[in-house]
Amino acid sequence: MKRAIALAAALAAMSPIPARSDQAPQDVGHALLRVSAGHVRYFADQAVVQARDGVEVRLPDGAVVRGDIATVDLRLRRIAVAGHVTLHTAAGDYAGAGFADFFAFRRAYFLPLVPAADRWTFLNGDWSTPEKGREMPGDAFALPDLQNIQPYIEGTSAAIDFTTFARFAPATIRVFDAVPTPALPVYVYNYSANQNFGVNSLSGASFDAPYAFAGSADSLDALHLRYDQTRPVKAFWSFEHHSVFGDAGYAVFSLNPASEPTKQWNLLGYDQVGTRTGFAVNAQLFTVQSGLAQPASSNGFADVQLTQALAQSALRVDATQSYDSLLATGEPNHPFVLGSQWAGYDQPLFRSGFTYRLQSGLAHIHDAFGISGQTLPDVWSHYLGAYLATPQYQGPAGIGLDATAQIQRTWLSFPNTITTTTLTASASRQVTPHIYLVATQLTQTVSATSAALTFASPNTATGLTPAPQSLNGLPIYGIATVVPDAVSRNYILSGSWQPSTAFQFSAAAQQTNYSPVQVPGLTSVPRYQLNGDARFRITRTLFADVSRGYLFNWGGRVWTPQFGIQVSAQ
Amino acid sequence: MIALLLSVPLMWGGPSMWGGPLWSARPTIKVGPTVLAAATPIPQASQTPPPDVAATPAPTLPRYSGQLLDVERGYVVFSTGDALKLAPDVAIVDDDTGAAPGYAVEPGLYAIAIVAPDTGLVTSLRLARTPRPNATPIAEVPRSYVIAASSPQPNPDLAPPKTRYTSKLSAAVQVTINALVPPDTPFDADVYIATDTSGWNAQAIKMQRVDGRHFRIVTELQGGTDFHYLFTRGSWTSVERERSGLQRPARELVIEGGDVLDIAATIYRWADLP
Repeated sequence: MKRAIALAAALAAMSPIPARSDQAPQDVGHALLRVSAGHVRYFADQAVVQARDGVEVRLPDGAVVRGDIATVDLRLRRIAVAGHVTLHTAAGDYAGAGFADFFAFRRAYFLPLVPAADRWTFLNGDWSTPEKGREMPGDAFALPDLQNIQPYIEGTSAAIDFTTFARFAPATIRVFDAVPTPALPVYVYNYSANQNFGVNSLSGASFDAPYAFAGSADSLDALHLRYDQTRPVKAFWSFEHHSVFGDAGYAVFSLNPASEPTKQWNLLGYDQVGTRTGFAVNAQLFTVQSGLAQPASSNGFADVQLTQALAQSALRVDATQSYDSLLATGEPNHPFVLGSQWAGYDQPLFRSGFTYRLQSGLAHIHDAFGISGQTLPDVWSHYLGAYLATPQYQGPAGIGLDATAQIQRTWLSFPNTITTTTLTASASRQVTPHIYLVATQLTQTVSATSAALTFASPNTATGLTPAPQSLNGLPIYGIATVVPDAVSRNYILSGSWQPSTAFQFSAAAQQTNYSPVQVPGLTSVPRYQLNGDARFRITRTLFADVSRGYLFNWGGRVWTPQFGIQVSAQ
Repeated sequence: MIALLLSVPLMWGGPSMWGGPLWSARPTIKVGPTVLAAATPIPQASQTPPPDVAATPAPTLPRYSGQLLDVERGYVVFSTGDALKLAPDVAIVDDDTGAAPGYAVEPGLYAIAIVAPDTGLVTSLRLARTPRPNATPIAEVPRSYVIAASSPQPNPDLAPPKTRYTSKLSAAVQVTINALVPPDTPFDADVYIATDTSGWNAQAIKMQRVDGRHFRIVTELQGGTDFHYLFTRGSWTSVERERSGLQRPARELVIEGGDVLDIAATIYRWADLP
């Protein structure tokens, strides 16, 4: 009996494993699918590549499918080829009406017409033994209706990685879904779920048109045509490279602008060891040089952070090395800041519904030429801070009430003591299903023993406001703080209206009372402001954002200088 | 002629009685009222029994509609995978005008196949650029009309799915995302959602401020939508982080179907704030 059971078990183990209905989608990897045709078009809002006219598709395993039309659905990880289809595999050639391959499920469906119309299913990449007659999903060969949609990219060939990118050659890109570019030799469209491809190291431009000319599953290279009205030469171009690695790692390098003598070289990097330790680097080099010739000036800084998650808190060690001049000429000053920060997580305050957060830091600043224009080469700083937040309380007439408070005190061994507070109280109400109103009272204060004995660095472990947001390390409440004591009181009524998914409008009326001095001027805070922002859909994938502010004739300024207009993809 | 065809079904697939390999045979296609090509008889597949027209004579010819995949080798094939055999003198016309179509017969068009119940052959193929509602969906075509060399075999993949969503074609779902922001969020901050579908544009979706610490957005997404996202304050330097300040994995949103979906999200920390 035991022998019979063992034999049965052995036979069962040797029998082919039937296709299971609960088969989960598999990782399709990064093998490339190559499509060529008279027209290869990419429809961004459908995430579909469509090929027409003499279509040839080379599958990752080398099999070739030819037909009249092919569609590649990047979301479904599916390719469908229809019309006069021929399938060429290592196991044989077949002719038929349609071919569909669901790569994530390793199922290829084929409708042969020779020797007779039939339904074949190829399982797990085995082209030699199709399962004939096997029922197919009803939409296995469904072709997306793209008749009234403009393609975003058009070319004659595409190499497609289902999860990361598609490389088109040549490529005509429809800018703003309307204006086609001249044919570019190649264009790489990246749609990776890896958010580190979104890390941006380019700063300062009001218009940016990237041209990605090279890429792979873990890299992307792009030229950026940029426009910045504040620069002497307003139009320029820049270069940016992305690399991603591991579960969370990335390195981004950029040169901005690359076409002007005044250059900024950027390097951003990040990686994690496990889930509790992270390492980050941020380095910038500023040069004035023609092309890549010997710079006339060169300075920069490098910031390195090590973050360690602890139980209910995190510790960060932060080191910043600055280089005032990297040339033989110039002042060889290299200020250095080393600090550590401890940040607690939000914690409930007993059972009150309140939450609080504590944080602190300790840092040492060294500048052989004297810190902040003083004679002291070394200064220590430490700070303590806390946040307190209320839950939302329901008031009369459907009004919700909540508040947050923040206080931080920083001690510098100059000596100097800087205390900042922020108190925010809000009352909110949903007026209609699509309209929200929020009234906010905000009071911010800064109190320092001295407004001069401070400094700014990119390192936040000092407890001071880092550069470049602040030039002296003191907080900015609308304008830079240059006095020992300042108070800013703001009363804001803001509203937002979203009548549909294609339109949003928000507006805010704000009164600001700033002491000790609030007089009209270019650097002052207007006493009254009215700002509006409308965001609306202009194409299936693009939104336009138009904003402007009214300043009630503050020092001769009636409106903000110009409209803010931004077009972005959703 | 039909009787002759039905009498020699087993010849299908081998050297044919028509003087050449059958895979090279082309159907007789009548475009509009004129026959343009010489007729090549199409044999009937052995698996398709003749319809029992004597028992239940149909008052009107069956009409089946669907998306066209191919018209080739004497077949019309729909995107459901169903293949119907064309009559030798099949007429291919535009469904709206009744005249010869002024466009190429290509995959992706929509078609109505009118079948002669006595032969099971398609006698008329009416084409259109939009789906045709005035006919039985091709998925419901009786087996007696469908051509398939092999007998239908059950597919365990098609058992009731355990997938997370019902269908990629399911109706739009109203999705509301509510986000609680950290207490150190600047009072004048805007909060956005960056998605992988937008190339991680840091301002892809703008949220509405609801109260002092909540933002929300209402949108409509198709059932089956699956994307990754993160909250930002408008730039990648102000993207959300883990509580510890470490980079957090992207959030994933899967629309499983239904009418509405509410998502409550908590943002613990911003990358640019200590």
